Amino acid sequence: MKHDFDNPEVRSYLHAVETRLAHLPADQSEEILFGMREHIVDALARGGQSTAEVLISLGSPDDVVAGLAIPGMPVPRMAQPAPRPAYQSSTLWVVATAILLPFGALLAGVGWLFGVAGLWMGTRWKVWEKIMGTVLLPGGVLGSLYLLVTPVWSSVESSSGPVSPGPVEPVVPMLPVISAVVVLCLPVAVAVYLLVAGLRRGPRQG
Amino acid sequence: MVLNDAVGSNLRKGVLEYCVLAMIGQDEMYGLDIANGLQQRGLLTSEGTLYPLLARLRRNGQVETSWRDSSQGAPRRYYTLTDAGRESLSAFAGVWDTFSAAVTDTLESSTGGKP
Repeated sequence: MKHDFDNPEVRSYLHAVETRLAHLPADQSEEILFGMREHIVDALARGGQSTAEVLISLGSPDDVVAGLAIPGMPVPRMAQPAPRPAYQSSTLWVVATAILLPFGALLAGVGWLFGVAGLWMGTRWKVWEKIMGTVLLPGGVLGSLYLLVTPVWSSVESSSGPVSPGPVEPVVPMLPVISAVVVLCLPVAVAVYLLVAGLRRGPRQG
Repeated sequence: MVLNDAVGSNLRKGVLEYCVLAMIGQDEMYGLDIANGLQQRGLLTSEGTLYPLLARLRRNGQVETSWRDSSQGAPRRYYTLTDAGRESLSAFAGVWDTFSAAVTDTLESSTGGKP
């Protein structure tokens, strides 16, 4: 079978379609592109049509993308991807933020603040993800350890005298061990989520 | 004849996937044949829109694909209807009979039997 993919017209057309399908999972866009390549090859092998005529009968790349719409359903957002910000945080930015958030506090205590700054200045996370990354947990792993071992002074007010400190009681030891493990792992789990979400929203190569 | 107006376009959008199922239901077919068949009937203006639709029908389990040798030499991907696709097509056919009869009846009553 003679393939005509070296034809710049075909290559340019398929590239334009591929670009418009870039928001789809790779297997879905590849399935569509495979069908179109096969169509072009078959139509040219059958004869009677020039390459340009075959491409015209396929429709414009925008027409092809319109075929993603499901009748009766609103046009899916994926068919009209929201424009990305002109500036997109780099992969290094995402990785550094995901490391600084859980472990940054171990670096002179202020690394976590840099992680939070990176999170809020980053362009790859949604607002709710930024809030989650900030509050779960302040200080990251160090914050978790602090929560696990920090004594809480309960005040016992007596009628005869001033406030006196009560016995030292850690907050978490009263909870099941599993809760302590969850508290310890939470900053890491949130950081892993932010890392994956950030990397998945990275700029795609066309 | 291809219906180029907005009405034709909207109608095509609603029925295209069932027309694809109906074509594949007659016999296993490959992409170009499905596209050409639909275009000749005026049901498809841009043949490229067929491929996102075929991919969705396959993901939904309404059609399945198999590889067969073609006369051109290289294997070609053929589409066949699954049981789910057959059920979907049958359900649509029932709705379509009622729907088209109702539309025809309404149009005839409003025009005194003259289109």
